Amino acid sequence: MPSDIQVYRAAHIVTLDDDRPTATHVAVGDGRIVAVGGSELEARYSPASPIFDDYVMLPGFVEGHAHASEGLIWNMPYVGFFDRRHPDGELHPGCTTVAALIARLVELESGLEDPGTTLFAWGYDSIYFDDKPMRADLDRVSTTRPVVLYHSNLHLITVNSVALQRAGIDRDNRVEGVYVDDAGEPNGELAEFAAMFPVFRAVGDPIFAEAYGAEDLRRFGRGCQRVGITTAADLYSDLEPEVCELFDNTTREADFPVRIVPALATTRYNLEQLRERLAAISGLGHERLIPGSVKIVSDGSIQGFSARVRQPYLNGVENGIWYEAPQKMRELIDELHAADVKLHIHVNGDEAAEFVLLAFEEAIARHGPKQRHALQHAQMMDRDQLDRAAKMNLVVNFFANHIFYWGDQHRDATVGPEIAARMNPARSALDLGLDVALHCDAPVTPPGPLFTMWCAVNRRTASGQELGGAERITPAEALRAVTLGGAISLDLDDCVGSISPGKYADFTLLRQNPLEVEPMRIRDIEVAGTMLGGVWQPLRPGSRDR
Amino acid sequence: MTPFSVIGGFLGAGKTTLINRLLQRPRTPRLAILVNDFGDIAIDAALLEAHGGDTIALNNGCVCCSIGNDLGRALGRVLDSTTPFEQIVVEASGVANPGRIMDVARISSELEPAGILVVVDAGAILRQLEDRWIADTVAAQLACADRFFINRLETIDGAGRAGLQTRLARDYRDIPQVSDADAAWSLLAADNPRKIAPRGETAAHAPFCSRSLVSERALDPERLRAWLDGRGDVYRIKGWARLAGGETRQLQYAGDRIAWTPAAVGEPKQTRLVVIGRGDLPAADAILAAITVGEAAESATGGCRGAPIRETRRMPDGD
Repeated sequence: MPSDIQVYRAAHIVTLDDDRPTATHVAVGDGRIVAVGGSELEARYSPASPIFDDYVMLPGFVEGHAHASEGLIWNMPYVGFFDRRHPDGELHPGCTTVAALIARLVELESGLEDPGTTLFAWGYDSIYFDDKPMRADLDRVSTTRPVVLYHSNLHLITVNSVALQRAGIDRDNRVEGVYVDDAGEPNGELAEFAAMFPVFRAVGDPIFAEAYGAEDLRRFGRGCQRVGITTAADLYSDLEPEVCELFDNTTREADFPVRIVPALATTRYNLEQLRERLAAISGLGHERLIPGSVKIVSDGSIQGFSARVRQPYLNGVENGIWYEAPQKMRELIDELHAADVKLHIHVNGDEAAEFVLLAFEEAIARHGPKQRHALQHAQMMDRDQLDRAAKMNLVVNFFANHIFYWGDQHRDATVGPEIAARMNPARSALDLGLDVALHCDAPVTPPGPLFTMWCAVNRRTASGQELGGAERITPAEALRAVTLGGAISLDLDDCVGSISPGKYADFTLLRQNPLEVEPMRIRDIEVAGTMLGGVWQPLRPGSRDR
Repeated sequence: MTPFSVIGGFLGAGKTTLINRLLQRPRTPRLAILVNDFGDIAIDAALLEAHGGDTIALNNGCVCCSIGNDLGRALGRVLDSTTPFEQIVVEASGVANPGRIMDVARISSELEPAGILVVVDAGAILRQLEDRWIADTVAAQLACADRFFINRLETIDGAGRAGLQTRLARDYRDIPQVSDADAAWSLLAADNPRKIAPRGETAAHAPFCSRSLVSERALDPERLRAWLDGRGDVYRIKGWARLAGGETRQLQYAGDRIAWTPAAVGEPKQTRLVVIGRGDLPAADAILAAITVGEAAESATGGCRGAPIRETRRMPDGD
């Protein structure tokens, strides 16, 4: 009996491995899965503790599209509309009315000792308020210190009179992005770089000016682990030498709780520089840090009216903006595909998807099939586009959480009910044979694969209405999407994503089986802990979700 | 207030070429030019003063700064410079609307607007304005210009020039067109109410080149000296050198003098140097081979650590 192999027992194991879909025992040696089966494994290997008789074991969740800045942003107090948990579990109740928001800010203000300190807070989204808070409301928080409220998308801030005054912004000194009230006075809302710059110049900027440190990355890891994630993509990174060093050192720490998959962002680099960066990081990596892929951001966001779309937005905005020049994308896709580099392409709008599909069709026609690339967000892709993606063996990673967080707004304010009903079309994609993943895009929405599953299975908006029921998928399909689907989207399905011999012993332990509970209850299931490489990481008391 | 100009234009229009000329004009104000990347910035070797991580300093007083991810941070750094700059120029990205960048000078008390120059590729612009994907982006860039710099006019014939001029005059009637880089700059400078004083002369050009070296091997000071003596094309070396005893020292080479200073606590325990010179320097690994001793594997462009997990994996349906 090999003494270094131990066998774990659970009430039920959902393997996501078609060769053996369910089991009760899994043998683990040297951090990897050795065998999967029933009680017969107890005779072959030594028993391990703990015994998970009260738990359902799943493959560790794979979050295919998040950002490590989820760990940084909590350096500021959260005042968003929805309840949200700190990566360490503390519940921050949502501020659902202007009165509640102001009361929360007043409370935070009273905790600041130095009268010169600026009060910063984040997470607010004006889209949920009819009577959005303005300068006058923030003046009730302080008339002596600057108050700066970051919107959740980080493209806008709302500030009080002191901040406007220090920035020198008034009715006579304003530009596009400085919003005004009926009397022509700035109302405190400032959009985009130019309008926000004088405020940041005057009072500082804790988000854009700071690079994240080791503790921020650890906090990101803990936040992932708390919701059952064992592999998390950080899908936009410069991977400058200092960042590589930080990632390398931090993820090697004995108790670092997840595998991190950073994708190199193209925004700052031309093709030659990208090749240099890829060469520089080619030796980087270990079992908990897996770089090598490249992320291209093609367009903006739908709720920000900046995604590239094929028909104008409901509010009259003709179209969004390209974040990367189409020519550059075509060149990058061609060259990097030819070099067999794995690509993740952010496509929110359907026009962006159209361009990227054409670029892939050209590249694959020229160089033949190589890596399977991933379309990220893919929110507005129609059936024809999905069909073409399927023919090219692409993977789609849908932003399922959008259905809950912005579904009502997409129906009423951005793209209208017809398109909103087929946003994030997981059913169509699966029917066309595509491999599907689902993601949260943290910090845009909170990490939580069970919640993400719930969104794709039930397609309920924040107001409780069903949005596009025809695109619902089954709990089993959703579970596959947040495990094996995520692994396929990251090209890691040879080592994570299912409980199969040879893969890393990465498991998520739940109190209930998401395939058996009533579908509307999936998001309420309690995560008990995770195993990473065969090491049990129970959730610390008080850090549980719900 | 510092005059603030924006150079815009679609990807490939020739913004970087124009910036290379501006930086090296013999009579130039003390400029800070913020660019998206240094990839194609070519600075006359004789002008080069220093090359930091995100800043290239020239001995004519100009600096070229990388915008990185955050224009606000880069702009703040330039504004906080101990010696104020006479003009700040921002290179807009190829898809950005330069007008939205100029807004910062319209609102900031520290900046004053001094012109948006939009670079137009004479041979491509009419096609771009019809392009299914980018027509709206290009049109928005043109509409916010104070001046057009019509680049590559030599690539089109007389009829083409007439057609281009007619089209631009029809749709952008009030925007002057120039086709000479020096004239483009003079007009941009003229938008600044406080005239810019001429400065010293400079010598002629040779392309500027840099190499990044990273190695676990020890650097041999004598081999470095010998290597430098054998070349005349290295202007600066800076960074950290790991010596044979395991000690790391900071290294600065300039004016044929090598300065060694103790490295601060927390500096890298490896050789990490940037070599800046003229012409075509040898590849990074060839330089390393010439100046280091020992046999540990090294990387010419980045650190090699850990077990490379990706190299051992292949998709079942891979190539």
